[in-house]
Amino acid sequence: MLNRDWRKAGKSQTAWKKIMLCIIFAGIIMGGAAGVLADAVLKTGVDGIDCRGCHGKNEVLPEGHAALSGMTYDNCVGCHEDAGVSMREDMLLDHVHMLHGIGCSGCHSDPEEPAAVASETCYECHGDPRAVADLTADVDPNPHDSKHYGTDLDCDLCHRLHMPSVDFCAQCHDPVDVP
Amino acid sequence: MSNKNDSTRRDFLKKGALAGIAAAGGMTLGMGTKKAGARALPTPEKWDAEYDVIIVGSGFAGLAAGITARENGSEKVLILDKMPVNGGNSIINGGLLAVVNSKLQKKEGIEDSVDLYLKDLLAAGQNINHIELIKTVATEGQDLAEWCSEKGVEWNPTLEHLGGHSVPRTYLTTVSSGSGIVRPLAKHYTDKLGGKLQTRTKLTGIVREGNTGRVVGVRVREGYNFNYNATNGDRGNTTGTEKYYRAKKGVIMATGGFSQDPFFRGAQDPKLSLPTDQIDSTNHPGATAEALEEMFRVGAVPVHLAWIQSGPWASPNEKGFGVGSSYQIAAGFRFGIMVDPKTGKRFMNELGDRRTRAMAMFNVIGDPDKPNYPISIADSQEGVLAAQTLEKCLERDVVLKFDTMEAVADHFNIPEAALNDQIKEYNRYVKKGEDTQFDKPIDQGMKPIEKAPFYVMEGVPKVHHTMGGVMINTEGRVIETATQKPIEGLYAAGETVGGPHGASRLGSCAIPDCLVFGRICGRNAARDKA
Repeated sequence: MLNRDWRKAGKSQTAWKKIMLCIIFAGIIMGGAAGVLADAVLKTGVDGIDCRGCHGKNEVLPEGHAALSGMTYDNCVGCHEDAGVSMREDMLLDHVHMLHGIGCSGCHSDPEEPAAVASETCYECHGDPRAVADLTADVDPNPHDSKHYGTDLDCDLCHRLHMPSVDFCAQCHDPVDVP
Repeated sequence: MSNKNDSTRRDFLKKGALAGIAAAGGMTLGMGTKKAGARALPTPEKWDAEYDVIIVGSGFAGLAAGITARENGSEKVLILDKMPVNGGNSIINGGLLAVVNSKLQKKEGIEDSVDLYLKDLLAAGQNINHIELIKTVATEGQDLAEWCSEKGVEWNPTLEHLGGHSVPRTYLTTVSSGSGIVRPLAKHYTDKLGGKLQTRTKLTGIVREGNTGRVVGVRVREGYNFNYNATNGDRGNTTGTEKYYRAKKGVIMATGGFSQDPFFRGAQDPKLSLPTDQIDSTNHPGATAEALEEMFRVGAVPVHLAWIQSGPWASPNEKGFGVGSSYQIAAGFRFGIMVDPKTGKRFMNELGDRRTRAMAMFNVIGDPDKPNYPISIADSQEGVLAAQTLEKCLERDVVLKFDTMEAVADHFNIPEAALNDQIKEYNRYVKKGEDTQFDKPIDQGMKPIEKAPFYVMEGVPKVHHTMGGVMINTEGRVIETATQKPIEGLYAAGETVGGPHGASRLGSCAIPDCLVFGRICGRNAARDKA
């Protein structure tokens, strides 16, 4: 469900981003898994951010983790599903967005001086609050359509991009995993 | 992960017990106040925005004030709230409204009166209630169920009978939460009446005009970012941008209580000064004292500040109010009995007032490090099965289900013979219609406890309501210590007001208090000639 959602998120981006993604994926295919081009992809993938800044020589990964060079988010998900390890617990949402081609400028109108992002920005890709609530309709109680706040809660009350997400409802209710 | 959960759970088992013990011993204290206006904020050279009426707080009282101010001709009405969500405590509250001479009372053949309502509130409040205030609530609150229904609020078709009330008189929203009132009222206020509701805006000052002493506006921080991780009541948070808003007709303070403010609650009762992650409360984390402190700073009279109430119906096996409290109020206490597992015996009137019950429960709980939680035992009679949150309680192990009383005794290590004797004894009282053991009021809906399966819930009191606040008159005007007269342009309603509930508030009497005085404040501010 989440995967589908993210793919949709990628597709609904602006044209230049689509082109950029095409270039990225073409680069991966042509360059091979550990090739020079793949590293270049990580560098220029989104907003010119170089993943190797952290994931290069001093990789921020558990011991024995495969090198990230050339990996896409789908590669990450593939392995983690097989191994039964949830990646969401460890990976910040900014990384998840980046792996889908959404960099700083995808959300912040001025990435040089990033300000708090309004929920309306999230809705542009993830659908309106009703659509988001429908995605979690089978969760009881549905955090996106609660009896206290309906569909009115701002996204950032739970979902944090640059720090671990929190469970707003856990002030009173049993905590759940928040992506 | 599971280890983490376990330790969290253990922590708040302990927290709940501690909180209750700490809150059990309230005392009224006096507080010195500065001479009126001595430290008043100067009127700014330029106002950043201008309104007729500004209401601080978007719970029951604030919304009722906003609606009534609009209805009484105020064009520009602003409700502001410091939190990123509206509704404060009201939106997570239990949704219980006690009113006199209601349509449901007529339908159910229940005789009630303003005098009986006052008698119940005074008994719980130890006769220190500001009686003219509760008289106003009882008298002017008789239409509240319909007033809410007109705006889209949905009520259950039958009344609840809450602890401390002589007769059933309590309406309950169909969603078992105050959100069933807040959401329709907020929608009515913004969509139908065109009122403005602005979150993330924190009051930092009340502006009194130098020469007249009249309250003419507020200082706020726009774009305020409440820190949910703070355990000190969010003190010292300076996020947001400073602005001055002018209020031409009045400022209405509907800012709630201070159950989540370690400094201020600790000042009243030092045992409550522990951080909010160590003493559990049923309140939302924004229930702090800064707005109350600001009213004292501009000269308001402090009333009953040390009376801090713990709710006796909470569960040690979940956070806050949770789902257990609703069950315990609707079913456990009314149709069941509460016993001490060590003895198998009852130890209190399950429908007594909150303070009496909380204190009796703390005695049973004993050492918070090795708590002996009392348990409520109910059977499968109609009223219990009708409790709205029973299913959720069972899912979350807040309420446990047993096929036999033997299994109950076994699970909680209760002396079985004593427990059986107690249940037989209680059942005799129910049949007789009179409880000579603890004087629990027996009503016709109650049946003997005999029909399996049986439902059992552990209980712990949690910090729930601060009875104290500023002094107001029946017009909702805040009274000044120095002059003993109203501060022009300043009104207050709801939990931030001290007096109506005296030493201990009866359950389901907060919502009528908030709505009645919210309406009074909104009406009077809108009609102000200034």
